[in-house]
Amino acid sequence: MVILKLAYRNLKGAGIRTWLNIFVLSIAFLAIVYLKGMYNGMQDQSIRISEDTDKGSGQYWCEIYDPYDPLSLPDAHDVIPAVFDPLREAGVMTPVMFYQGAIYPDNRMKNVMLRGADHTQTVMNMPTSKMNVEADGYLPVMLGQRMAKSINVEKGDVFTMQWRDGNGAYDARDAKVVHIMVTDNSTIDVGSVWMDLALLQDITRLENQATMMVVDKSYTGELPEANWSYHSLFDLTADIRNMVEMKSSGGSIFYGVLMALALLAVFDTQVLSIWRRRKEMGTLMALGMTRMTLIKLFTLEGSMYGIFAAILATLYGAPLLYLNNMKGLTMPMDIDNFGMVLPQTLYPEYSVALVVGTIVTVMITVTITSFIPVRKLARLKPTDALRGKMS
Amino acid sequence: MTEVKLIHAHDLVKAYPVADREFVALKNISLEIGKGEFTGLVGPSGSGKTTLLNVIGSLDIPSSGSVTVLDSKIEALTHKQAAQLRNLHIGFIFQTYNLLPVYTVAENVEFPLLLLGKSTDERKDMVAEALEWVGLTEKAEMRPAQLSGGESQRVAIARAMVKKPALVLADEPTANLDAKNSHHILQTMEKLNAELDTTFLFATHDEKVMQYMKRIISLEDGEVVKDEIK
Repeated sequence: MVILKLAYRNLKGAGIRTWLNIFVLSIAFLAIVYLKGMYNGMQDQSIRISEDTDKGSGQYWCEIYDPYDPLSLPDAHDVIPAVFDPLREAGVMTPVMFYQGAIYPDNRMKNVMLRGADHTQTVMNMPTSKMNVEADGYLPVMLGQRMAKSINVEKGDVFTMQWRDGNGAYDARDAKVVHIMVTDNSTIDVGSVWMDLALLQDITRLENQATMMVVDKSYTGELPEANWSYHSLFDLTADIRNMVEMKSSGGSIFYGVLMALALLAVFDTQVLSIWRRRKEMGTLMALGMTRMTLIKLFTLEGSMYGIFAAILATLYGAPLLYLNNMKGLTMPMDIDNFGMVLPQTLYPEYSVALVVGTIVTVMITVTITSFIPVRKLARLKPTDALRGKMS
Repeated sequence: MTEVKLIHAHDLVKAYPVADREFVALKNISLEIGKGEFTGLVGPSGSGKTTLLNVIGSLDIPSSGSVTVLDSKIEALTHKQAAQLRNLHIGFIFQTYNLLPVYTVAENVEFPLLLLGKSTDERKDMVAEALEWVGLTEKAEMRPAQLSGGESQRVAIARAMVKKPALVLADEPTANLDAKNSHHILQTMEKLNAELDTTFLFATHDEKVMQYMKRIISLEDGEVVKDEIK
């Protein structure tokens, strides 16, 4: 308690030097919490969006389907097992079919993935009902906003669509864009042309076939056994977690550098402080302070930079982070075509564990940094210190 | 000289390694200092005054021989025990005052009491009393940088005396002061010596200081050459 009081008095007395260190450390604090909060938010939101619009609580895949093998895609469809019928009828499971095709907007060819979904489904948060309209004899299709922008089409535009049916015969018809879907999930948007599943089955002559079955996110009942492989949401979102982890590791380098700069300031202050206060140390020892208490005092002075930095960071950082948390970080549309699900507006998530963990980490590193130059006081002779020498 | 012996040195030798040789700062010093004495260690620079003061103050240890201060054998004390001895029983006054610059006058004086674990109320009373002894009550909230040399040394005296130690060691306490301030300081210490029966041991070569001493131990090249009681 005494050394706490003394350390506080010494820091207070050191004036501007103390405040500069505290300010630099507080920026490091804030940057770490902000970045980590951003990555946490990105991961959670991405998973939530995936769950909501695409993956549900999990998916059954037909035997051949392998999203990492494009060559398997032409054959990635199979007859929907009857075992799924009860859940389909209950509205907690819906089939989706992927089929390769090509479109010719403005007479340019573009390979696309034709995707069929039941227009009555409610499992995936997609406006599939918009596809169930009369399109003047054209095939009614729905595009995502990014896809529409990339091929420069709008609602009502018509383009030619080509595919090979289930028997391998080429077929082509004109398709009309009946709806432009706005979604945060770029994986169901970029390169995709959506249509009603029954229509896709019909034009490809693949009756009652699908690529996968998506299970509703709220479904917690028993899952049927089938010869289609089941993939849980956790498995399906492994890419997102890996991507965020990779980005987070990159971020670690940034805040590692930031922390190193802040710690360098603390280290430098400690070294300078020990050098300038040799005589004071001798006086303190003459007054009855032990070397161990002296080490504790100087280490504590360094550690207190961390404590004050946490307080300062809370004072000016909490309102900033709160504002950021409320408003989020809106990204330009083009940057979300990374091949991973990214929301248009990122909302950081600052958990208690994140803040406390950051404070503890910074405190430990500051304390170690403060202790390193102070160690040598263990050999300090009071007579040398009084003469302004270091033993 | 009083009966109770506060300091007892026997065949005290203090040697320092200098390059590949050994410099002997104190050569077989034997002396006794009793309670309540007002004694000066005098001699030219390099005669061993400060070294002897440091050994008696348990800031240093003898190379050989024995020094007993308040029944504690200095050569046998651990670092912690030595710190405890200084904390409880010894006050130091330095030539350059050695006040803690970031503390106020009152906080400087309060410092030894904090180390002793005194309560806030006790500290407050004792600091007020010590500042009254040296006549600096009005300047309690000032910083050392705002004080004159004489005032700074009076703060150092108050800091040394606040815990009412048995022994005060003063190393050239007037070396940085003018004559008027030197006399003022010495009179203050003389008064405290008389009122509190505190033993004062000075290291000095200042004639002004010597005239206040009741006993003068002269050192030359690390040896006691004269020990006279006035």
